[in-house]
Amino acid sequence: MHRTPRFLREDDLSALISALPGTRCYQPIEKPTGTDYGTPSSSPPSLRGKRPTSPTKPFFLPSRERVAAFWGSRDLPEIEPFSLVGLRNCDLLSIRYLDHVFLGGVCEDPFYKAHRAAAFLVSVDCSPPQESCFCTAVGGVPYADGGYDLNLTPVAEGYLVVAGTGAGESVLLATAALLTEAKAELLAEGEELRARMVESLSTAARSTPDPQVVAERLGGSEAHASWEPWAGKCVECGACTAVCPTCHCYYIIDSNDAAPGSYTKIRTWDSCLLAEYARMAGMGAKLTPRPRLRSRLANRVLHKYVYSFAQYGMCGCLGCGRCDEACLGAIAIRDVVNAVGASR
Amino acid sequence: MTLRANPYEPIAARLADVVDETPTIRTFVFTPEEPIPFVSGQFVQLCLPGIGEAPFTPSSSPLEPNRLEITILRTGAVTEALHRLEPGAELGIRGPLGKGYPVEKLQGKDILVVGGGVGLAPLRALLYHVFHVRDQLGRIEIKYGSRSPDELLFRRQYDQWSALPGVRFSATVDVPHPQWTGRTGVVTVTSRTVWSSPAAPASCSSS
Ligand SMILES: Cc1cc2nc3c(=O)[nH]c(=O)nc-3n(C[C@H](O)[C@H](O)[C@H](O)COP(=O)(O)OP(=O)(O)OC[C@H]3O[C@@H](n4cnc5c(N)ncnc54)[C@H](O)[C@@H]3O)c2cc1C
Ligand code: SF4
Repeated sequence: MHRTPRFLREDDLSALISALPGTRCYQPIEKPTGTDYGTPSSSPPSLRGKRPTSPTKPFFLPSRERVAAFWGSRDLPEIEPFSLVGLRNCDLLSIRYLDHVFLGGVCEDPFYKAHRAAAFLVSVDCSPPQESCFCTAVGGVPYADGGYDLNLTPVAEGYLVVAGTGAGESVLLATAALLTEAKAELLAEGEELRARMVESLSTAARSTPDPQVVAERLGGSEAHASWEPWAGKCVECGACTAVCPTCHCYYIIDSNDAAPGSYTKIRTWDSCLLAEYARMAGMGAKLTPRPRLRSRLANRVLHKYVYSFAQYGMCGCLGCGRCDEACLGAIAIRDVVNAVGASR
Repeated sequence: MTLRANPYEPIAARLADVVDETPTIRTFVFTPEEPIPFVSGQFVQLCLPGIGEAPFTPSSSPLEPNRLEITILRTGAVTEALHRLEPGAELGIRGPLGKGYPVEKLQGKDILVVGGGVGLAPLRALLYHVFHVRDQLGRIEIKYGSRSPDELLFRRQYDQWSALPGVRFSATVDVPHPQWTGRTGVVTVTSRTVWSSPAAPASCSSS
């Protein structure tokens, strides 16, 4: 793979984007409610500001998706190719995580696989740091080192562009007229931006210790009383699991929305924080293995910081900070991890 | 252990027969429109359109993928609806799911199977497998317990199982009961001492 970045002028960004594969192209746009994905017709995407409010997960695991019909066609889903612009490294890592879940087990999920195969991924290095970001505290960096088709490194006058796959390389070939050689000063500028971002993130307050240390401290703590104060703040809304880029639990319901009397199976997101999650059959006293919010909250955090290492060899929290922003109870997962870890 | 390309898609199946086991448990015999080859310990989802789906482990032999028996306790929405079904009804089966027992590890070993109540249902698939390969195994001891005599499953088969060479089967009821002349005691307790001698010399090497 040709890994030397090439230079793209800011003014040519829209031209590059219109050369991306697929019929739809989702890009971060500034909205009154914050930056989020959209399909703008003219305005260039917002690549130098805050990361999108939404995770990338809905593009691969829609919150509601028809997965079967009674007695439906045997056809597997066909998803039209699309491009996704403006992914951050934490977004790419979340895709790697979901790949482990939906493609790495004893069977592949055909729906996830189809969305994944249809997507062309364009990532961008982060700048400037945001209050909510703490990727470096969970072993990440604010720029991609793989997992993208194209990556953009913002520099003063434009972007350093590099391809990570053959598909990315084809786009660069098709847009060769827009690209020039990236001079040594530009490459240095890109490197410096990355180093500065790592430094400012690492010195930010409220960081957590190394994820391996956290995993050791938190291991086996589900029943520990130090989770209690956090459960007291949680209002059990499930916002954290909805915005979390790696939360992936789902529930399957029968629906006759399409036509009365003819049922389809709809896969919807679920949340391990909700009391009904893992509810079992019957009328007994113990209908769920985790009747207390405290243990459900602990289980969620432990899945991210402890069990994910054993399951997938990576931390399940990527430090994007979306749960901190979404939480109605003003719970910051970094504070939870630090407080529970310190009490052990 | 094959799975459809779309694991969410139910395989249409017909309810061929219903057998009463206890006041709340029935065994349902299903003939799926295509074979569902499973390993004992794996489970399937039974899907009733518009009511929902629930997991069950076949209680029939893994050697018969064209005819699945499933033994079901009536306890809630899906299981109540299942108990209302008449032979001829159509429903959906998804699976097999789960990993199943590592049955290849049983080679040359003495086997103790302990089950309680409706829990014998999923174990019966394992028993059929164990009986099928019993000349490659050591002693086979089956301990089954239930709260009361009328909750004992598959009573018609006990004599047949006990008659198999190398197989010992015993049923216990938790507390004494007027209609019960057999042993009493909780099965997890009565199973603590089973064999006084060490394992039979293995005829096959075990790994
Ligand atoms: C691997 C496995 C194998 C099993 N094998 C057998 C077997 O061989 N035989 C057998 O008899 N049983 C078996 N069971 C148990 C069986 O699956 C349950 O008895 C069955 O799910 C009961 O379904 P129900 O709809 O009748 O019960 P319900 O109590 O009506 O519902 C059970 C499920 O429905 C959902 N639910 C109900 N109410 C709500 C609500 N208000 N909100 C959200 N969700 C709700 C929950 O997910 C709950 O777990 C097995 C279970 C497992 C996990
Ligand atoms: S967002 Fe906050 S309040 Fe809502 S469920 Fe998550 S932790 Fe609880």
